[in-house]
Amino acid sequence: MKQAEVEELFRRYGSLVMRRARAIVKDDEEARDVMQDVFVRVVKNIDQFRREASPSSWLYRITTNLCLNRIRDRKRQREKLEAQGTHKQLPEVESPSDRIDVTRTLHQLPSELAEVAIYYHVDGMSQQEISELLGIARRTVSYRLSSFEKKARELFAKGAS
Amino acid sequence: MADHDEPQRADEQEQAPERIGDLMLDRYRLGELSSDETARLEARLEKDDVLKSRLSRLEKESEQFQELQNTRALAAVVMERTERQRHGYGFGLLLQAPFLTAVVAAAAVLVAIWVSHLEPPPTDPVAQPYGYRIKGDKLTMSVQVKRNGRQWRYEADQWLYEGDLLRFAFNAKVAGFLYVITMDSADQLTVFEPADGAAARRVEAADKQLVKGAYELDATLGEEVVVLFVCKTQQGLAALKASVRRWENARRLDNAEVRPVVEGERCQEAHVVLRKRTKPPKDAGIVAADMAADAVAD
Repeated sequence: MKQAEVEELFRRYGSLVMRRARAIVKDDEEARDVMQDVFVRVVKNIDQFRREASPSSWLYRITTNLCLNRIRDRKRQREKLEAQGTHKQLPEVESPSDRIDVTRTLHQLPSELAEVAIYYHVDGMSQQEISELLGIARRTVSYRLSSFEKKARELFAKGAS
Repeated sequence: MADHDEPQRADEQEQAPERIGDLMLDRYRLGELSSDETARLEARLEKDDVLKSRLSRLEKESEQFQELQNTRALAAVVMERTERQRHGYGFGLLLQAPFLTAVVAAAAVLVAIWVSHLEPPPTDPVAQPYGYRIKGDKLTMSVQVKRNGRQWRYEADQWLYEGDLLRFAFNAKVAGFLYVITMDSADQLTVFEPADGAAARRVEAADKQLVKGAYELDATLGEEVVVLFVCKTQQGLAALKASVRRWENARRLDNAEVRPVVEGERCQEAHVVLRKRTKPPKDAGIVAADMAADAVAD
């Protein structure tokens, strides 16, 4: 694949990937890193990418997965620092009880729940859209959202007590 | 779970209009929607000013990205990273650099001491499988790995990492001249035996023999095939290398008819496919997450 083709990919899809990554990791620098990772994946899987009926949907999924990995990395890093006694524990920010702070909760939940939660709560996608994007039944999407919300509320309750 | 337990957004209840996410708008502006979907969305855009402004925001974002980001530099970095991941640096570079060669030589001395304490190769190749054995079982080879003070016999489902020390062992059923050639994922061919242009070493028909020298793996990623030959007569290295390249290319293409490297009865040969990757993080969870992401990508 030629560099000019990769440049064209960036021009066409760069803003989409960057916006999505920024929405999940909440950090511009980290979002840029994720964007690089995503395009490396694209180049490595270019044949599959070209066959996709909706390259944007494919990019959404890859970006989401890579962001989730990053968020888990952060958590591990923080735990490591805490274990070494070099990280000062910051006070938890109070969350409104009627609102689910998705990004704060993501790293503590199984990835299949976190992924669906991002599409629903961060992207504002409908359950039907999520179902089509992930190739799973709408009922499964609904179930995972339900589980996510239940676990999130448990986590907040634990934090508040 | 019962339906009434399912979370539903207000816009998904009753007859509320279909919620349009950014993905749908992105697909629209990039021309990925079907004609039906396009018509439906355009009908909504006609009536929905908020939706129209969201679309306009996405279009503006895209324009700004193209103006502000150096897509040329971004593409160059991606190309470089992709190439690095695809090819790595290979054994060849390790051996070409004089300093690194000295390091390898020092490692070889250390490993030679270690090898003298190795367990003998097993007599039953089925009970103790070798990494990868050629049909016919005439000549067999195995790889001993040493890492962090531990040593073991390499098997086909294992991963190797940078810094691993390797030693090749073989059981020859006939006497002949020994050659060991590798081809890494960067298509770099390296002749390990005979080393440094020397004449091929003659070996006897015997078990538990070792190829001279030990090898420290560099950061090359991907598969690297090691082919060990015992030939009745001395062979030209160029022809053997070309044959290894043909054999490895056929294997990579999953060609069902991978023929022996050397045709006819001149040589016996054995192969080991080494699998190299970067060291995994201590927490296996991230590996699983990466694999999941790969699965999506693939």
